[in-house]
Amino acid sequence: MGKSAQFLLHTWLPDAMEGPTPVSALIHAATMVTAGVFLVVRCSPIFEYSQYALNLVTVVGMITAIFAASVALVQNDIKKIVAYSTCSQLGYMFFAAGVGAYHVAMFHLFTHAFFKALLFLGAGSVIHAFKDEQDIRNMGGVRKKLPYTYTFMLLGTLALTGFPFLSGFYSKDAIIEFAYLKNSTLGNYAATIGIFTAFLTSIYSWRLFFKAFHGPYNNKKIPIDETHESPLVMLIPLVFLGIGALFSGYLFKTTFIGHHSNEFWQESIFFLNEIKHESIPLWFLLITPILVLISIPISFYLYILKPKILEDFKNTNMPLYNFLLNKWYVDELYEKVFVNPAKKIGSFFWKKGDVGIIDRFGPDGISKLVKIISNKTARLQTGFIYDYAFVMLLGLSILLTYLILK
Amino acid sequence: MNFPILSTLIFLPLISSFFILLSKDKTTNLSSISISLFSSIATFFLSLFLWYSLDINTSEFQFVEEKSWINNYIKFKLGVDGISILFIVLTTFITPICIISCINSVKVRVKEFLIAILILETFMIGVFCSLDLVIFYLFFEAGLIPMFLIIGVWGGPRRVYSAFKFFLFTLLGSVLMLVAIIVIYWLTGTTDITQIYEVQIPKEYQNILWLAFLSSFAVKMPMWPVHTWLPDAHVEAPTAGSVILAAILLKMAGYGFLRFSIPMFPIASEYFTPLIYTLSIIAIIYTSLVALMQDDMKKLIAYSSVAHMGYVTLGIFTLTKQGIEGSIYQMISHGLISAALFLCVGVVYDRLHSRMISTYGGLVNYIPKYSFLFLIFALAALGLPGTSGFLGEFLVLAGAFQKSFLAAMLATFGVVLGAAYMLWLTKRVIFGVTNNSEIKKIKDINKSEIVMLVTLAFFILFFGFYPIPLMETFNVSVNSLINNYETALITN
Amino acid sequence: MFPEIFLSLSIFCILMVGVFIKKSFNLIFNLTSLIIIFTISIILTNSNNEERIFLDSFIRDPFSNYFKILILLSTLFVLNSSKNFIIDNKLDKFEYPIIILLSILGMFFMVSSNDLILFYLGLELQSLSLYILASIDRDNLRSTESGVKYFVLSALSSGLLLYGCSLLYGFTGSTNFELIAEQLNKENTGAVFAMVFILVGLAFKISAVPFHMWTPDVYEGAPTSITSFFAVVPKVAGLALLIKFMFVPFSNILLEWQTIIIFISIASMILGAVAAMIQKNFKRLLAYSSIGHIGYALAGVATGAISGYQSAIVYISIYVIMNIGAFSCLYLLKKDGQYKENISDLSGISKKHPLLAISLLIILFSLAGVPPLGGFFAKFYVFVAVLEKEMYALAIIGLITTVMSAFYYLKIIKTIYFDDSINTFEPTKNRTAQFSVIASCTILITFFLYPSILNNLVDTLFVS
Repeated sequence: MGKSAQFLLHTWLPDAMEGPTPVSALIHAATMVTAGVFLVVRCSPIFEYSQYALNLVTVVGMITAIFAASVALVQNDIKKIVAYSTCSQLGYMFFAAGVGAYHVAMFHLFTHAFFKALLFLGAGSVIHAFKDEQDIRNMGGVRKKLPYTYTFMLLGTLALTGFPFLSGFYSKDAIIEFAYLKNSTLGNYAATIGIFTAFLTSIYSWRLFFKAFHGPYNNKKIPIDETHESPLVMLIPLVFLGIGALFSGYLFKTTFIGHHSNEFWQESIFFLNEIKHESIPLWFLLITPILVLISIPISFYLYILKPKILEDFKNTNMPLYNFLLNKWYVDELYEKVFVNPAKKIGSFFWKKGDVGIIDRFGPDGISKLVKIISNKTARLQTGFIYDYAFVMLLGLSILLTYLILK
Repeated sequence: MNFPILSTLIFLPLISSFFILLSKDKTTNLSSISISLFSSIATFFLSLFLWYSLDINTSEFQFVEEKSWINNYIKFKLGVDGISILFIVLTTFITPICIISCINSVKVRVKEFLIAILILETFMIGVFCSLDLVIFYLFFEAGLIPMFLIIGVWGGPRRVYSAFKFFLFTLLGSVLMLVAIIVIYWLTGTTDITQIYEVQIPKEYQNILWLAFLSSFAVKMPMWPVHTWLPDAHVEAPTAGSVILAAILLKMAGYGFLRFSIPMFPIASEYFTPLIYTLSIIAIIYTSLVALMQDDMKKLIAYSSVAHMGYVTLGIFTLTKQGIEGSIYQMISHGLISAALFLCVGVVYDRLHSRMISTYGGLVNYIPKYSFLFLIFALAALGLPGTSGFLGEFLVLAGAFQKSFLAAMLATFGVVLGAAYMLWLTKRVIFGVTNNSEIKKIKDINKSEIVMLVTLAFFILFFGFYPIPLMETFNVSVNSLINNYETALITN
Repeated sequence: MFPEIFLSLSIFCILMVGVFIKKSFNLIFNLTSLIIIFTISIILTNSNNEERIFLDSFIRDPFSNYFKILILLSTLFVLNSSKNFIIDNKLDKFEYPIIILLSILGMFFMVSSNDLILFYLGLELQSLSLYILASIDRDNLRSTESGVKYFVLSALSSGLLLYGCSLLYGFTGSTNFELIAEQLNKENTGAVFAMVFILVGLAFKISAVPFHMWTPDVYEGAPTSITSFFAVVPKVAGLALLIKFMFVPFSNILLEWQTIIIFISIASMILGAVAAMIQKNFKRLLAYSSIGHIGYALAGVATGAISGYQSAIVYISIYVIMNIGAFSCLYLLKKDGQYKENISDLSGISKKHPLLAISLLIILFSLAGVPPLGGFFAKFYVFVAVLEKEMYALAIIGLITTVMSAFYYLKIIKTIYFDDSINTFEPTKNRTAQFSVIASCTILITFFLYPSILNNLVDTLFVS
């Protein structure tokens, strides 16, 4: 769970984005984080036998999905937005696995790999264009300057938000459908949250997109003329990923989650009770795409045309904004609950334990004590003969007394 | 075997140190360095030959040499088995590396330094070869003299305090062992451990004797709460000194547990297992937390050594095959890793004369080769799979889970803490922000440093992926150790 | 031929030479060395059988022979290595070596005596010579002061000793050691009291606590050449006598004297370790160190077993070697015509005088009892003997004081090696002192090769 950055254990992921962009792309899209999902799927035989574990996975997935999406809404660092978006998508996968739709989870994992890598490399390209500027507030208006990047980012955003018939559409909707099909209270919650999150997803994705490419040019450091398209080397991978983002959903839909998907998975996924692929009400099928579609103009309106509205909203709801901006204060919570105590205990052990007690009463203390005694004994050596004679006679009488008493 | 190969191994460095003493080069020290390097490498190959010709299918002591020594009742007896050979090879392997490292880091009295290192090597090999308690004690204690001088003469600003603390702490610990050795002599009539193995030491004496041995080994190990000499000694010692201290001297105690405490006092060993568990767990968690807070790199690594040695003691006293094998593996790998880490600190210390973490930051931008190697060692220290550090810890934990779930859980928690302080160190030193203008002028590692660090990195990774050469070597010996221990318990 | 006869005759001869020839110090000094060497060869050529003369009051046996040789050898080294010192400090009076020979003669009678009277005569001969020696630098205030102190306190102890002897004679009816042994038992309270007095007298001679008070002052005040003699030779004789007393006359009241010796031993070990720590003068420090060492030797004696006596003898032999080395180093610390004796003067000598530094290092570590040097084996044998008798407390206290005393030896080593150099000493021409230092270091280093060499010698001493 830690590996796939679920809620409460997610904090490392956005921080890991400090790394170079291709590495983040790799971490996110393909390999590392998905390993967690893969493990859950792989361990389906174990999870299947424990309803409790499954429910836990579902709940964690749900929370992660909505948490990360809400946080992504207000972030300003382009890579952090994408990172939290990954987090949110992983939440989807998790609750998909939680409701028992392992194959759907895998399918989303698969499609997600394409468009998230695309988004990351695209983001990298944008960052490159702005000479290592990651703050989207300092971007904007470079649509014309970066035509290719613009196109691919558009593609990636569409795929991520689940625009109909792009890859994200198939997999994400499938997850929501399956959650609904699960026909349990939890499943319904999951479906609702899934839909809501999809809406949030599309809002923050478009926010990113519009802020980066549309609107006025906001960067004060670099004149707009100096922004430039990335070299070919950086664009070629985008092409491949773009193709993937476009078609992977459509092409592999049947293989992964179609009626014959069992042939593909064979024994690798274990279902105790397979979810029947029943018919789903049409309104349910449509609700997500529609939300996604309307979110485009909404966000364009809010972020580009009338940013004032949001500004007012932000100012009136400062606590909420800060709450989101600071990622629900999870980092701070950790800082308070784990890191600070660990540091405090550590320095307590060091200063009080090692230095204060062990050394003070151990080696240092003993050597001090011995030195004091040594000073005292040396003072016995007065240099006067009568003292010396007295000590001798005293010794003699002690010995004699001892013998008498014995 | 007629040729006294073990004696040759022990006294070769000593003899070559005489040559260094006689060599007369005032300015360059070139001949001293070459003599010492040559002799230490020769010793290394001799020990490799020993390893190669050792029969690993028997737990008997091999290459045994015996000479009457004190009044015919204490014999000068040497021998090796599958366990000790590895420590010997570790010793002979680390020593040339130390000698190379002192080319860069030791500027004054190089000749004396080399002599001290070589004499120390003699004593260290002697510890691992001796099959007689008195001989063992002799070598065990004798190592204090050169180490005291290494810390005191070539050390940092607080060297006097550290050297004294090191010497007196260790001496105080081991005098009780001397008492115990003499008592054993009067109980069994011999100090030859192969004979003592066969004679059961009376039950009523075992506990007290075991504690006496513990007092010595615990200080040397070091176990909590007698570990405080180690950070001081490490911090003040010159690089080569820290390397030897961490890589080899600390292993003497672990070896001592395996060679003496368990086979000679099986009943007491079992009786005191909870004590060792407690101390080990405290050592692991306590010192890991302390390590987290250090702002001195050497001190951090020193505290991490204490924590790692906690795993060793824990593993040994699980008294299971996995636990003991893990401990041995952990000792060997810690010998390599801690040596490498101290060398790494030494490298930057030679350049900027600071061990403070805050001095550094963002090294990766200026000295990439160094940073890469540092990263490898740091990851190995936290037990990343694929490095030798992982296997030892893993086996120890596997052994511990068989015996005490609680201890194992807490020890596992220690692994997390270990990762925390090691990664945090790496983050602050290698990555992070450069706020020291001198770092921009820093030079990357030179050839001799590359030789040392790459060799160590190679072995750390090699034994991480391919542990069989080590495992095979001590397998039979560990088996018989456990068998003897269990039969001893049953018969009592 | 008895070595004592040769020694007495030669003393008279060289006394004549000294009286009639002016400025004869060199001649007499060399003659003294020759006499010592001759005496050694006489002892060695004599048969090792036991011989008794003067109504069994004088015994020549392996035991006494061993000590005589030890005394002679150590005197030879002490004397020769201090020759330059004696000349430099204007102590080169022809009486100097003669008095030393006289004190040796006294010691010979002490170790060979089998009778209270002869023993007391020998002791007084030795003591009288030592009084003179302590104040031989008569124009020096401190030398004379130490002479007087030693004289007064020694007289007190001799008085106690003599009182003990007379009590013993009164309660047992004999002055012969063996006859006393037959008469002595627990019920003979008066004789047991006498034993205490005699013990006190002997403890004074070997400067065991609490009869040690004179030692630091005399060691510091007397010229170094005398101090080194004091630290080595009379201690050997005194310990020999103590062992003799315990072994022969007091062997039947073992339980009575054992506790006393244990007390004295522990007190000496602790005081030697503790009080030495803050000393600044090297000689004074060696005084306390010698008190501590006597404590260890007494621990061997306290076992009351032959193996314990043997270990004590081995201990004192190695102690002699170490102390000769340590004092010989002091003869090499000459600067501007003056011999330095403060520890701070040693500061940083490892840089300018590496060989001297390493010799001191070896000697000091050996004194501290760190293996593999000779001093370790000395302690080892003592503790083997002590633990054989299951005297655990004594052994553990002894070993803990070892650690404590290691502290002050380390402090000197710290001064030598870790501190900055302040003194450069004159390149010495004192070859004999250098030879003593090197010889002592070589023995201490190589001792571990054949550590039972002394044991084999000592094994033969207790045949009776």
